[in-house]
Amino acid sequence: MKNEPPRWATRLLEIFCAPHLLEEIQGDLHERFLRRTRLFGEREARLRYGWEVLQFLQPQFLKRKPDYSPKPQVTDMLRNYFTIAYRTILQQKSYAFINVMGLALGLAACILIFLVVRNELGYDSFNRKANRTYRVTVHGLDYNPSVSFAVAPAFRTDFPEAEQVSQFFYQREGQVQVGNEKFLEESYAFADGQFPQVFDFEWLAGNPKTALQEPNTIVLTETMAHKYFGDADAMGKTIRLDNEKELRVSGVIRDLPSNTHLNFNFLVSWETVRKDMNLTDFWSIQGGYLYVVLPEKLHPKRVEARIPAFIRKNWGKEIAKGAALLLQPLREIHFDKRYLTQITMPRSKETIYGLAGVAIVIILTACINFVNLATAQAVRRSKEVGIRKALGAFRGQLIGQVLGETTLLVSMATLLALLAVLAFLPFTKPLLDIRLDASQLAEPAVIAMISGIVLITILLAGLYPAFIQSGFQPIKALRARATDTSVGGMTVRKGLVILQFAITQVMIIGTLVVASQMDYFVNQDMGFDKEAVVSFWTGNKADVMRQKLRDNPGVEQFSFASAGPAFNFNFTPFSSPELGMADDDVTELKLVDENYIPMYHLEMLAGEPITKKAEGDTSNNVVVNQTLIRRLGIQKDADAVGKRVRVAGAQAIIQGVVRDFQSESKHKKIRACVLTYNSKAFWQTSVKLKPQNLRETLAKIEQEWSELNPESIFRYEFVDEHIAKLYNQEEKMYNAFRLFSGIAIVIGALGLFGLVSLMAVQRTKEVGVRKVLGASVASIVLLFSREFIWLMLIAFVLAAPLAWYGMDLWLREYAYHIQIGPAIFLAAILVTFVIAALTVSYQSIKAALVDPVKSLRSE
Amino acid sequence: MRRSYLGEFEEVVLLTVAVLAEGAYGVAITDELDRQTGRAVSISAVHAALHRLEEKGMLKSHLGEATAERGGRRKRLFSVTMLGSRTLHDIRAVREQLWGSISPQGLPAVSL
Repeated sequence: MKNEPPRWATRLLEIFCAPHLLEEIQGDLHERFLRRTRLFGEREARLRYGWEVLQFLQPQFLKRKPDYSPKPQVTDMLRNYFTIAYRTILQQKSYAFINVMGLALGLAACILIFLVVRNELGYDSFNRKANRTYRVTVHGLDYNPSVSFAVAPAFRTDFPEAEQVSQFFYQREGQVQVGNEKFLEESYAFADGQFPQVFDFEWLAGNPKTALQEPNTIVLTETMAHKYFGDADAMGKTIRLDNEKELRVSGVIRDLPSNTHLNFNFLVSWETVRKDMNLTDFWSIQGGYLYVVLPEKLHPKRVEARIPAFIRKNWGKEIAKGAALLLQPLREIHFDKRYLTQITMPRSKETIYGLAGVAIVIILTACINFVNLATAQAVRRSKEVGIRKALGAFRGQLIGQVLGETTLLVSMATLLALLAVLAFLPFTKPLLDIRLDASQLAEPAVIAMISGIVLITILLAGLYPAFIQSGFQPIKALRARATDTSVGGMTVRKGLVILQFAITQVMIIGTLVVASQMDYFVNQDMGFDKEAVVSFWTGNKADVMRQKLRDNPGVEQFSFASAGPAFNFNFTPFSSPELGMADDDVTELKLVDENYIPMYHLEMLAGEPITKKAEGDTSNNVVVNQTLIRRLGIQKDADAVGKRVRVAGAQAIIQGVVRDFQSESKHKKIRACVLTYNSKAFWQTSVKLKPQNLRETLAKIEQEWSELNPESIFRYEFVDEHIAKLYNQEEKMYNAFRLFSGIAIVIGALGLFGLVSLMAVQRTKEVGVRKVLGASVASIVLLFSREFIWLMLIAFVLAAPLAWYGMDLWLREYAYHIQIGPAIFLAAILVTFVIAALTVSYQSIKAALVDPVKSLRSE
Repeated sequence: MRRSYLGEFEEVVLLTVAVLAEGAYGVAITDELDRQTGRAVSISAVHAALHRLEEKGMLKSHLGEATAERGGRRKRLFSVTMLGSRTLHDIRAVREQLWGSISPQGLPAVSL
């Protein structure tokens, strides 16, 4: 075995020494090592070798020789890719434009929908205890989110394990007086001391633990505090509520987040009103929301199981038989459609998932555009690919190059999309009824999600073209001419166009269905006359008001009642032991005057309308609707007259039958309804105005009303506007549909436009030859259009059943809805046809008009 | 005329290269220096001086044959360039001029 110098030293030298010096140094050291081995022995030689190596570790030997020979680095290749990408974009501005715009639109829609969906699914999640907070609701004849005020104290006693039990009592409207200024405020609530422990508000002032404990205290939201007191400190100031309560401001909280089912402008301590409330009766008309927080490991089912015993113990057997209390998880409140009468309308999860689906579809359309244009264009770049391959490019590099270019375009699109989203955010509230803040865009989860969307878009849009383009055979690619017909993927491209057409058509059909349902909501016959009728709170001195209205020349007719046809506040049990219906069912109860039926043009089908009843008249005659008598099993309207029913526990005789009218939104079936005369309940005044001088008449009414009620603020509402409000949700949905299908259509049209223009370029020669041989412009346009018409028809066959299925599902949420007729499908295909024709014809006519001399001379 | 400055060690190394003529490479130069001057120089110092001199243009080099005792590595053989030669001559001329100018009393006698 030959002697070798220590390996570590040799390695060290190899690592540190400049390569151009290495050989001679190593050689010299080796030579000396061998000599020393001979002279002094191996051990000494190794030691000295190591020492000498260490001596060479000085800058002079470490410094590498400057290298001037070309050595391509990764960055050089990248720079080349950028240059080529930049040139391609410049060369084909219109395609780049179409791609970027389409992607930007798609991404913008996608990001926006993502924000909306996130907002929706995160409802009420701002509370730390959200997952174990429940709303106690009552299930009797109906699902009711409000429970009697009697439940809370009893619950507290019988379920001591509940961490918090909080009473919340919503008020639709209240009049606030600060100093001498009066405000009519919508939405406030009474809430007890535990409420701030259940819901985690952000407290700007005051102590959440004590703010709502004492009577006559009020907690304002930031906006309200600013409205009433400006920049001054609101704490300790006095506010007068509804002309009777003097309240001290004990706290200020930040405005509610956009995604909570709660809705209030201020909270008044529950103690303020507790004494006036019915705290014993289970079926009391008064009721509010009751929230409980259960301990970590207690399943709500275990509490619900003990509810029947709880009701029996506190209110007796009878009540326990007909009612159950349910624990509704806090985070489900926003999605639970069983409860329709609540502060904020619930939204079904299907709608939200539907919206998410729309986002996917839109981004898909944008990606399809990209894929189509890129593959159609790939032919143009086949030469480049051929040369790159001939010079030794790996397939992976080519794929990387295409993906890189895609990334470049998508990044540009993302930037535009983010700008568009930022610009659109302020409009989400009025258009979609969802408040989104720009700050949400900066949250890590959102950034991650957007990056995810962008990444997926890059892959969706880039992968297929990358594989097509990198798969070219260099020989074929170099020999092929740019005008040759497409390379690869024609069937794929056709498929994608069909998919795109189908998406567009589904969106159009959807929009049309929503539009007609909207129209049906607002314009369909409600069963009563709603034109030019205003309603307002009667206020004090109804008799004086009656006289004033009678004297007002602008008033055609007026009526006092507990509620107009489109309002329902009163429900009451009814039965008819005589007709064999022993168990109670629920009916609406409207207490009206003699003008009610004629003014609203309610149609009497049998018997007599309501007449005025003198003081002390104890007869109890009622008018009922058709639904009620059907419930009693009476088929002929006239047969019902004179029959006895029990309404609200009292005997009554049916004196007339009125045709069903829509008192609630069309979400629900028309309910049974009882109308009866009761002058004690004329809370609401409805006035039918003459169409002339409407404004003056209203002004006069307001003035007279204000004189009678100097403490209050006059507020009126037109009945048709009130009805439109019932469909607020649907209107927002309609807006969303219009917006997003608009975007989908624009993206689709952009893609089609790009595709046709590419096709026109590729077929320049063919068109030239055809023209020389006598083809007309029309026949050439047809040549281009024919293919697309076919694709469109195939797409329609796919889209129609899909759209029908989806929209039918949606319509079923409404008790009353339109039928999806052939007209809608016809309209949809017509719209797509027109859009496609417009897009295709521009390019094809342009191509057809080119002088054949020019098109054939090239090359 | 600009004259490249040579350090004392560089001057000695340059002279040694001239002494060794054909066979001037790292190990040989180190050995020769050892023998002629009696001082133990490190091989790294010699290499450093050689390359510095080459950068200054006083030496030129080429790679020689590989030998087994070098582990199959080639040696770098150095030779003095014109510039190197002139520099050495210049230095020598200055020294001789200086020697010639010394009066007998100028230096204490040294017995050799």
